[in-house]
Amino acid sequence: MKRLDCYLHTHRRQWGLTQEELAFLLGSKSASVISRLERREHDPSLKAAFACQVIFGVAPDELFPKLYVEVEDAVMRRAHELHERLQGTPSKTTRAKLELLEDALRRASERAEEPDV
Amino acid sequence: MNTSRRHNLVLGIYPNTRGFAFTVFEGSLAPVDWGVIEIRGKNKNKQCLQRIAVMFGRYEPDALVLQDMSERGTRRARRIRNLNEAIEVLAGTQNIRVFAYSRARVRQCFESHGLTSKQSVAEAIAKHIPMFERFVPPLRKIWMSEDSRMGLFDAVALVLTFYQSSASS
Repeated sequence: MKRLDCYLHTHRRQWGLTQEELAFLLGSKSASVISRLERREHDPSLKAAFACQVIFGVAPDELFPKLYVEVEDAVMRRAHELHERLQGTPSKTTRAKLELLEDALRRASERAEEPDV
Repeated sequence: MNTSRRHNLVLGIYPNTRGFAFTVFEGSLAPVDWGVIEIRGKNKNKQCLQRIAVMFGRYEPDALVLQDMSERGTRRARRIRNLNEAIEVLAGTQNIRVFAYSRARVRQCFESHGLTSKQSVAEAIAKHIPMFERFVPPLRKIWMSEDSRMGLFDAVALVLTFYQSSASS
């Protein structure tokens, strides 16, 4: 199912918060910060993403799904590259690294196959 | 008509004398945005269309649901009819599929649940989608004009009629 890039606007409006009020809760001086986050003109800082989770009780990957997918894609590309690079090095440490990367790749593909609710 | 699975993001627009009300749904019980836009001054239709064009760009909806204001549909004021037609044309230029339901069709959709007045429909919608609860206007007295928030429930009712029609076809 198609998803919006960002659900911050939806959650803010659901609870009747103004952009100024949410900016205050996030510790920002200006409501324009919220406007830019909602329009995805800016990516949220880690602090802001956690603050949103504290306020709405929704995990950052649910609030900013497009950003999460972008990060995941980039990481998975690099994970795949590293996985290829580590092949043929038969140490225990390398095996542990390969296991981690395979787990991460499996989680990402499982997540991609999950039907959206 | 296509099934709802092929229309992931559905935008419902209900033009009225003050401007228009809109709602965006991602599933029959999952609204992602909504609002009542009041336009003042001259060129109301032009201003409404500008706002709606921004909305199309922002959400890129798969389907647009409007009121059927054609001859066989619901009779509305000329300006509102013109606006409705212009919205349809605008949606066509952006390859957004348009679905239109007359007031009678929307009523029919809710009458099967014993809901015969706009007020009862608004209350039922708020019961099923709690985020609309605070928008339910107080019961309208005979001397009062319609509350602007009722437009929001008209837009939601259009979208829910779309989902019901999609599910049954």
